[in-house]
Amino acid sequence: MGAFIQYLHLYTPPDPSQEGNLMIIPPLLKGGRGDLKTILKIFLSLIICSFFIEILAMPSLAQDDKFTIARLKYGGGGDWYVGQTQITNLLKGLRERTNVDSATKQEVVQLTDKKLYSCPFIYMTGHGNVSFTEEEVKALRLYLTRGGFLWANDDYGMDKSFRREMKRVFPDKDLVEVPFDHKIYHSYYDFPSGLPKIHEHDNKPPKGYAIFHEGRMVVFYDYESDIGDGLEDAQVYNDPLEKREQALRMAINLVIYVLTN
Amino acid sequence: MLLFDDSQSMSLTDSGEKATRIDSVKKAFLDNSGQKAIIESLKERFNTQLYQFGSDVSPAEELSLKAQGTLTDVGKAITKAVDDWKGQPVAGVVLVTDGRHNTGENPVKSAQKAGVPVYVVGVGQVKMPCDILVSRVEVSPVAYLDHVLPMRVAISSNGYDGREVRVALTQTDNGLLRDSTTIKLNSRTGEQIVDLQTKPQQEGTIKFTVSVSSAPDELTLQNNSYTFFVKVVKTKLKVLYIEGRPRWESTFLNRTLQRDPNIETTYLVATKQGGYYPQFPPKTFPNTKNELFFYDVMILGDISPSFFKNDQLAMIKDYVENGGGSLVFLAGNNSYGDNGFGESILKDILPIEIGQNGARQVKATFNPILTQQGMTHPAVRLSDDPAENTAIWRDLPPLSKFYDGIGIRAGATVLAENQQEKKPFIAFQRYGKGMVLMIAGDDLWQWAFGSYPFGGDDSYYRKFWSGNIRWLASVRTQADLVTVTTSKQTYSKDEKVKATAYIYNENYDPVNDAQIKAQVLIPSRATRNLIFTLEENGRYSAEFNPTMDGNYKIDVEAQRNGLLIGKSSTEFIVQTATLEYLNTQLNEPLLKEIADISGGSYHSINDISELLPSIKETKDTVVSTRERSIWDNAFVLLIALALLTTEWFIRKKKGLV
Repeated sequence: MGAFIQYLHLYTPPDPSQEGNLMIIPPLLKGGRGDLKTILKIFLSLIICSFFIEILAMPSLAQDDKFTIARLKYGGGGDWYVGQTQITNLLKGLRERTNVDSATKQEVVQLTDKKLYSCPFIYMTGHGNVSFTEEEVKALRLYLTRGGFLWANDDYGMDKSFRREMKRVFPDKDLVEVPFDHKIYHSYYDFPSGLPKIHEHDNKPPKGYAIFHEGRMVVFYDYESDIGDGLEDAQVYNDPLEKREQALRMAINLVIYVLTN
Repeated sequence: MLLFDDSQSMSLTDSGEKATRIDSVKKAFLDNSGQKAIIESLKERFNTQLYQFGSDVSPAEELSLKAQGTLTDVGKAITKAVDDWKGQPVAGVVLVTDGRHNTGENPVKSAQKAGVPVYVVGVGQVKMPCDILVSRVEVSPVAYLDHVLPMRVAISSNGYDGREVRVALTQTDNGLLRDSTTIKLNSRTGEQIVDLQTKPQQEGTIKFTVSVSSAPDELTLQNNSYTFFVKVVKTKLKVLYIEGRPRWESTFLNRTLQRDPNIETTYLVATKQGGYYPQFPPKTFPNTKNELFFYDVMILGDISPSFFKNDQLAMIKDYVENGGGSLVFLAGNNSYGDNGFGESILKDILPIEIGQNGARQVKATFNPILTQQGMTHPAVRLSDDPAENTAIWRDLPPLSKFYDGIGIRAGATVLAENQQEKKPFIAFQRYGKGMVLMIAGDDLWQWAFGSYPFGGDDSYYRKFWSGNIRWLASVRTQADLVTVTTSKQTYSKDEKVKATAYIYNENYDPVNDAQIKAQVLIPSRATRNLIFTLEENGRYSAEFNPTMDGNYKIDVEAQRNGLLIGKSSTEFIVQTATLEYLNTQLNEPLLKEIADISGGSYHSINDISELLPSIKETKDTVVSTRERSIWDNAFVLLIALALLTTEWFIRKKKGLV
């Protein structure tokens, strides 16, 4: 049951608005009338299952005290689900290299989920459009001002919409560039010249931005670097080993910084 | 059976009466002028046994009331007497009391369980006696030099409505008036609240007294003043927090400490490699004793003792025992588990004992419940009102796991517990000159972050930690070479006072061959010599029996080879137990309920002659009943299993499975 729930969490139907996506047609629907009973049965069990999932999924984060990161599922059409091995590899790196007791799997949350408050660290990435509903804007502001942290990774393409949406969340605050001597670049590994460049795309220097609330960093935004890209399994993008190592180190710094500040 | 109340409230004289309550009892039961004394008549009709009670019950051959019990437990008296006569026919229990039950089980319940009629004789007046008292002073135990220290004083009164009285705050040692105000008494509003304040101008432990002016014909003057201590400190409290690994529990605790304007926190988180985050620039454990002793409170997070070098562990122990530092032990698998502090040289200083294989995390949702001591204790005070404090704790977001395999150490005090599992949750003990507090939970951060979905905020989480740290810092005595303390600040008369002196040389090594000159100044301004004897490791003790109410002061001077090491003094108060004098009128409703529920009858002491005819002869034997939860019975489980199995078989047979 546990594995099944996990599967349902991670499995998300591909966004039809994205080019090149295939529609998956369940084979059952192609069958004759004899299959009607089977379809009904599956339908019913799905309803029952979804009921249990509602119940079981709620406390799943709070019950487990291991450190994990929740991937933010946002609206607007962007590919929020891109790079499914990024978080798992970061959690594995934390487990192997530091004394952070990390979980093996990522979580998935929406800003309006109640379980958002069992995970103070959320991650968002993508190439496309980001759009929050009015309710989500309020929920994110509350989450961040009351102790939560958001790491946004620009996978090249979400910069414009992300900045627009963050202005809605904090109309009176700007994303400011984080100076190289900030603790975030020195919390575990030393990055004397700031954010490393991981994935080359349009020849701009990498930049780390942040939003602060009452002196505490509540949002970190890596721009023109794509740390997430370097966290993926080696075969996905064929990034050189050295780049992947730098990405993991920077991501570990981020987690350590948040946990110790 | 005849039960006589022998508590202090029985020594009061009700207005309009000449004799005290016990004197009227003696008169009613023993006086045989005119006709036969009641006790004699009872003895003729029944086989009688006398008992006298306060907080405890004892059988008596003859009635000899002294009114010295500092508490009254009516419930226990009934239960104990009936238990003594189990299996024998009992006509009933005669209970003679003013009904000022103030400790133990609800006496109505005891009367119901007793199964014999209780005939109650009420002593005293139902009307509230005329009195003015300081019922409570709410004040922070720690204050800052040259900063305003506010306090809230509650005044209760009866019988003096409209009278103007002055409420005054004085510094007890020099008698200087610090603040005062005048109020018009009004008993209909319940307690009257008065706000007073002072700006402490000297460091150290300072004693204050709040007093309210007296009026003629008050029941007692003993409750017209209230004395308390405040520790005045110069600067911010210094906290050293060493955490074993980055985790949310420590993140939220550190953020809360950093945000507190009166606390300066050094936060070190251990790395896997044996260093501390952040690595650039590197940080270290305090190198010298002086560096460590500089902190008021040290917090150890989920860290294994093996992380520290042996001399560092010894230094931590020294910090508590001799430096008077306070230490907080947080729970986690590294600190409480196998190879945790339960096996280390620090194990003796812990307020809990950890089982051989360490404590174990068990997942089970629970809310810590405050114990009797916890309800009003500053370390866990989220509201100044004990009932509200208890309710706030009960309603905090629940915690998701508790620690099994821990037990409370003898002498330690439990403030909050996991009631379902009977496990201590917050407990502390004094060790040497310092204090050690443990918290057996590692997801308290749910009270900060997890409270938002419940519609709350993190204010209780912040209040808990700030109160806790302040209290721990307040009990820290300065690391003087000579220190004398008493086990309590307030004693009741005839309670033994134990004084302890700690004597160290300049290196903070214990001195075992010191010559101690000690005197105690008693309220009559006379002095008595006090003899301290060595217990161990620079710790000396002396005992003293106070015989009168008032302020006492102990002065200690220690020498070694004719050279002065240092001097120290401490003060304590002896006051007759206030609980017995807080509510003094006859509690008739309670007594009538006891009589009704047990099938007996109620009589006032003035109508004592009605008592005898109302007692019925009986052949009933005492049957004792015991309550037991059937849930814990294995038989119930078997029945449930059997039913389920039968259902399954029936379904199977009918082809439903």
